[in-house]
Amino acid sequence: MSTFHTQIGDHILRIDCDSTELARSLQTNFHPFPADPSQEPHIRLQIQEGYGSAFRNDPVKIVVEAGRIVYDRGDYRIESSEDFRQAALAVHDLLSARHALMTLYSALIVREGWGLLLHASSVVERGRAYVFAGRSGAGKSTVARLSAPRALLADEATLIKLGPSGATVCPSPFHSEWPASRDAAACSPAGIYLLHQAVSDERTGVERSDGLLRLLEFVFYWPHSSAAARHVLPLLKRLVDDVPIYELYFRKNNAFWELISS
Amino acid sequence: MTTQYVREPGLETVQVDENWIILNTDDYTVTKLNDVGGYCWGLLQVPYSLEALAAKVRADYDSAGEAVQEELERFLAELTRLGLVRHAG
Repeated sequence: MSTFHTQIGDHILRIDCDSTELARSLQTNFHPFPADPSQEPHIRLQIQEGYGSAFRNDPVKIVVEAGRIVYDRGDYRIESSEDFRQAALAVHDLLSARHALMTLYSALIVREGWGLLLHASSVVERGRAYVFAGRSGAGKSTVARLSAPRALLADEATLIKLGPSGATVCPSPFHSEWPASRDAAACSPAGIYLLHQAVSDERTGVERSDGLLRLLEFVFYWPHSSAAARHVLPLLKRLVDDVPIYELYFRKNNAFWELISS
Repeated sequence: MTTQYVREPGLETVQVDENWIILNTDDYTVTKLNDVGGYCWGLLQVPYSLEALAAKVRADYDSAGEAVQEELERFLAELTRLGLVRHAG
């Protein structure tokens, strides 16, 4: 058994993992830090390895029973308290564990009205976060790679806190290929860019209400009920009220930075 | 008896600038209304007949003529089709 603490956004997690090797692998995403004994972790997780079979992109089945919420995807199973602060995760392997953690954490932050996880990469330029959203293949990872050596906050799942004073993009542990830069700090977003690969660079503004509709498909969230699903809309409203949205047409080089950071 | 219309319960609505966005989580559809549509949506928290709704729109938007009622009839038919309003009572 291996225990470590980590932080995602404002939340401290305590993770008890039955596999020392899996715990060590998870720590490349979820950096451990010394626990403060006086501070109760916000989330307590127990992780067991060896469940089910390897990832096949099956849909997540969600059942609410006896005050618990159960997610099952075949390669992971989550049994969570209704507030998502305590959960047992049975996972097949490291990939399953990462996905299960993202499923759980996204549910918690929506439930608490804390923020959203967006299917987007995000990069820091002069102290502001630039968020690049798009479907698979749109160029999120490409843009992240082209933006080097700028600090990377996320290459696939951008974590956005929606606080009383506005939106903040936080370093995200939910990465696909490249982890968040160790020196990246949370910062306010300059804009959200909806990506299109093109033959020339162009940026056009998107009306806020249309921006909200577009961003709906990029929210990482698996609602366990209709009531839960409704929580996403007010969060997106807070986001688009605070952050401008643009269409970004870009060539496969870093020239788009001259356009968006001017 | 005059047909009255009212919002379906349990829908999430937000206003963004002059527009209104309604999320129907029964079928996960999203509907966007302009400012007049949003105004009507606000009224439909309680039952309204087509005629009463048209009278309110004419008064508050300084509009005249039968076109208002015809457009509202189409609007209400569309909202009904989308599962956002129903016949009341």
